[in-house]
Amino acid sequence: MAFWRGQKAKSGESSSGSAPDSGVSNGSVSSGSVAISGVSKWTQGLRNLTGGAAVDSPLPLPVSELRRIVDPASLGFTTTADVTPIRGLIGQERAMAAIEFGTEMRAMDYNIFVLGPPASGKRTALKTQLDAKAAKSVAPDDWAYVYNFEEPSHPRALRLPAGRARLLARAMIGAIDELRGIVPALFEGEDFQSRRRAIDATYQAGQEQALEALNKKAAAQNIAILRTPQGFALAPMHEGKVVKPETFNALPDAMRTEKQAQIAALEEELSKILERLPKSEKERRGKIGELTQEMARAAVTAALEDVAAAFADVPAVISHLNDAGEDLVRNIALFVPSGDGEASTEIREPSDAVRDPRYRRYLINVMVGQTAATDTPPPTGAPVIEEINPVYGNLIGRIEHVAQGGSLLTDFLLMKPGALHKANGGYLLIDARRLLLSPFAYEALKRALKACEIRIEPPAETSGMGVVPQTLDPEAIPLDIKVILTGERDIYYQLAEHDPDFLGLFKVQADFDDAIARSPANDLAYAGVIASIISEHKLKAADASGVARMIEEGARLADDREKLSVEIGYISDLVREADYWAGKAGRTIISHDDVQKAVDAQIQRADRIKDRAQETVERGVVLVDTDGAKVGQVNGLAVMQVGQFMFGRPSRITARVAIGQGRIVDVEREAKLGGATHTKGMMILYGFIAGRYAQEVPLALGATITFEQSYGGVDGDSASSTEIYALLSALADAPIKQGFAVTGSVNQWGEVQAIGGANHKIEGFFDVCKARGLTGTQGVLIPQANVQHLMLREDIVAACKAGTFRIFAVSTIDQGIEILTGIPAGDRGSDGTYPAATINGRVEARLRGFAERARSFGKSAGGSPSTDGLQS
Amino acid sequence: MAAQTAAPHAAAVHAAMAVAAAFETWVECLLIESPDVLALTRHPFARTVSHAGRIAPLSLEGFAEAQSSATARARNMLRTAGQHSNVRVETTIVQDGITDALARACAIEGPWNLMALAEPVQPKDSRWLCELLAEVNGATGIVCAGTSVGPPARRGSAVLVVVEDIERLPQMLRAAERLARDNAPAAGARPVLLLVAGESAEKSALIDGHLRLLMADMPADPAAPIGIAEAGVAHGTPIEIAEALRRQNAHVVILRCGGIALPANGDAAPLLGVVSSPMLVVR
Repeated sequence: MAFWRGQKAKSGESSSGSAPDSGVSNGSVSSGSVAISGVSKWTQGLRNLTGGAAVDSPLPLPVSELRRIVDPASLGFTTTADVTPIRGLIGQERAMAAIEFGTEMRAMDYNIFVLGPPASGKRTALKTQLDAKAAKSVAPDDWAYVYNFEEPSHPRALRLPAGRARLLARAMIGAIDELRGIVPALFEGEDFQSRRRAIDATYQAGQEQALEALNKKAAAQNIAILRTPQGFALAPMHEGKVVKPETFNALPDAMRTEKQAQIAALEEELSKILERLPKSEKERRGKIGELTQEMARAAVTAALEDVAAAFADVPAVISHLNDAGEDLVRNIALFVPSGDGEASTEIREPSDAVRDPRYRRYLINVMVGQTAATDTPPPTGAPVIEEINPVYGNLIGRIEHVAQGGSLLTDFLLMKPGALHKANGGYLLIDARRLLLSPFAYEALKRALKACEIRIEPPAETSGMGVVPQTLDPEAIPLDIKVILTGERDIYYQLAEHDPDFLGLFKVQADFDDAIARSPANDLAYAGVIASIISEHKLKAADASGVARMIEEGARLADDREKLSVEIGYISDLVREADYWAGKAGRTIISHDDVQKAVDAQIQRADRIKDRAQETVERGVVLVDTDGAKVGQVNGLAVMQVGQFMFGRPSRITARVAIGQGRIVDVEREAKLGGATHTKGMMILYGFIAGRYAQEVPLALGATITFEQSYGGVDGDSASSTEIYALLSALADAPIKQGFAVTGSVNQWGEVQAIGGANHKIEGFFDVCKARGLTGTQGVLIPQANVQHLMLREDIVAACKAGTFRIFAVSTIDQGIEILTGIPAGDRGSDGTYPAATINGRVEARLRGFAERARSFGKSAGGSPSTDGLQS
Repeated sequence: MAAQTAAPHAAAVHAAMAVAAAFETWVECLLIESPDVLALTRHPFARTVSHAGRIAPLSLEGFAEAQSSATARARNMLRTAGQHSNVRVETTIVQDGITDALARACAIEGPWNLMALAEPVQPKDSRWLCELLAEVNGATGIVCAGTSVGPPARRGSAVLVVVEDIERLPQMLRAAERLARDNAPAAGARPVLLLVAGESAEKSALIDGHLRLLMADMPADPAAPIGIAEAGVAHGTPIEIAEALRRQNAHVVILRCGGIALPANGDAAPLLGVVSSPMLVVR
């Protein structure tokens, strides 16, 4: 809604309606009339130029449009102690419904992405909802890894009912400890020893008998069996001594031959006896082995029978116990003290089965085990896990290694669970940004979701890079999980655009809004949220004025007086800081002043950069005029953001014109300081100029437009209307009142469009004017469409109310140029031209002059003007 | 110590070193090379049958080389065992029969206090053992290990004395106390256990009674008291005595030659095949 007194004057027409302030009566203008005494000479001059057409003086926005104030009395309570706290969020029905839907869709591709601004309370709300839902769910099964006796590098996964994995682990430790106690005694016991001795005696007796018989036989033949380092040797003997060669050679041939034959025959016999020894020894060992196995089996069966009985209803456990039992029987020697000679007197046995490396393969690695004891009921509820550091290993699990003798070794007990394991059967919350910043983690998560299983493997193996030490390939665990990613909107949209898997896995988006609509009901709901914050943090109660001020600040945070920000984090900070300031002031109730103090203190803590920027303007380092008038120069407005703090800053925009070839040079773009959006705005500017003024006459214009003293880059088109004003001023040679600052985007039709940060921009210029002293002729032009967003500071509202500062809302360039110059913009007449005394008329005349001079120059120089647009 | 240079038995060597350390003496080793084998090498038909049953010619050179290697290994083993037990070991190589070699050594160096066998005794060797003890001039006993002696870690900690009569008890107790103090754990000395063994229950009871009287009169050494306790009373056949000994699982057993446990007539097979501790056999 624009505030104009009467109708806009057209050329040749008198204004209709009265203008009380100006004293102009209907119809004619009389210089002697008292009625015109209130009209400035400037305005009168304009009226004369326009043939008596009245110039409508625009009205600034009324105070009520500058800030939407909450009347404390309208809230209907005295303090927040009278308000029912509202836990959770308000105005997020869309998002909460999406979460509800997503958590109930039991499908692996309906995971949830919760998007929204930070501090919107989405994480807290999400966790609260999930906790409530999970509490009613069934507890998921336990999972453990056990040694694979057939393929040790492929540990087996064991599924157990909830709460029983740890019981199984404890039971196995107990069984091993039992074997550690009974096996040594068993093999030292009389039963085993006597049976073993019997076996030894049988085989030894056999050997001894054979050797003894051979000895006797040899002795009967006067042949001795001698021991040598190489074995045995048979020698002819006489009277206990070996017969010397010369004596032997002196014997008759027949005797010698017979003796040699006897020796040879005995050697053969001895050889056969000795050859049988290894086989005999093997048989003996075999018998002892059978005996050992028999004793071992009895002990192992006894040790494991209680475990088997306790887990008889879990076939996988029974199968594993069978395998473990067989292995224990085969390796029963692990439980018998070694004792290998003199040096072994100081052998210390490890204190328990867990620490003894010999028994590791019989233990149970509980990956996911609900805490349970035999005398408590089984656990309930699904897990809700929030992984705050979603690196690859924390997510998927890891296989750890230990260094031993220069090598890296591992076994199934060194496998560690990840968040996917812990949340299996439940919910897993992950911050999307952290996930994406962790190498391999996002891809690993997607793999797990697509395959519906958790497979632990080193990242080097999945990426194909790096050296992979000896590692394991454990059996995968089935995955049934709901993953909820939280993050800002840009992350969601980037993933949706660039990752082909993303939307297929995260089909539910829970979009948290920034703000809710203002309404009496929502104002009260806001009060309920504030009461909840006060209750949660045990703060002082706030009175209605304090709550009202907080609601206003909520609108300010939303940058829209028709909205309230639901970024609960910021509201919570405000409430807590107001509580602090109330305490500092000795108050027991938070009131309006405390909230205002909190707001001011927040700004004060953050606005050092703004102060420095302001200082440069006040000291004239950065040139900004706030009075007088200049041709081709307008105060533009920009918003700076430093961290979370935003502030507005005026910036001089200038335009120079000359005869040219229809090019409007964007200096920022030429200097590569202009962004794409700014360039677009400048092109639109050209479209407007050409569309309005170059239908009959070529545009022989050469113009440059720039942001003076701007070296850090410019983007956005919120200054495009400002740039047009500067250009029109330069073309029309009409000074622009420097007490104004302008913001607004423009389209090719000259319609002023909405921009962002209107409040900060206005405040930025106000602060500069206020520092120099408000004159009453200063103000800001904003797009009409931005009026609904105004939630200006109270001091600006007060200044406007006092008439020392003004805010104007415009819808078209023509409206704006009239305010800025005080000269009517002018409408095109039936002859297609603009009245000469109007801005449009003067611009038209100037451009025609350019075109004619360019043509004459071109004729004399042999060239012709072109109608190129913006320099490309 | 006497050993044929085939291979000294580890448990026997260890027992010998332990006893030497207990008595704070040194060990003289005789590595006995059989002259008969040397003589045999001069026969052209001489052959050896290896432990695997392989028959090969026996030459002087081959025998000398093998003998030299075996001797070196034995010396090395004895030296290492001596260093481990902190006992001085001197080794001499002789070519003689065992008894002749021992007798000659006694004649040259003087009689030994104790003789140790570096080879295990078989169950059938009890008579030979007793004969050897009778023949070795000067030695008060023989340290030997049976074929079933295991590593020290598997043995118990006590020094067990088999008391078959009272006359030898003081001598055996002195030996037991020495063995109990040496190589004992840092925490204290090994206990000494007394196992009374008699032919009959009455005889055992009588010995037990005398033992108690004697023990009551014996003054305890206040500097380093050794715990002496009765391990029990056994009687009966060598098999029963041997079983009683086996159950004690002693670190070393002290017994007399020619008694019930180790009769001189060769019936010590149960003992030598069962007891897993080295034995100090006294006259």
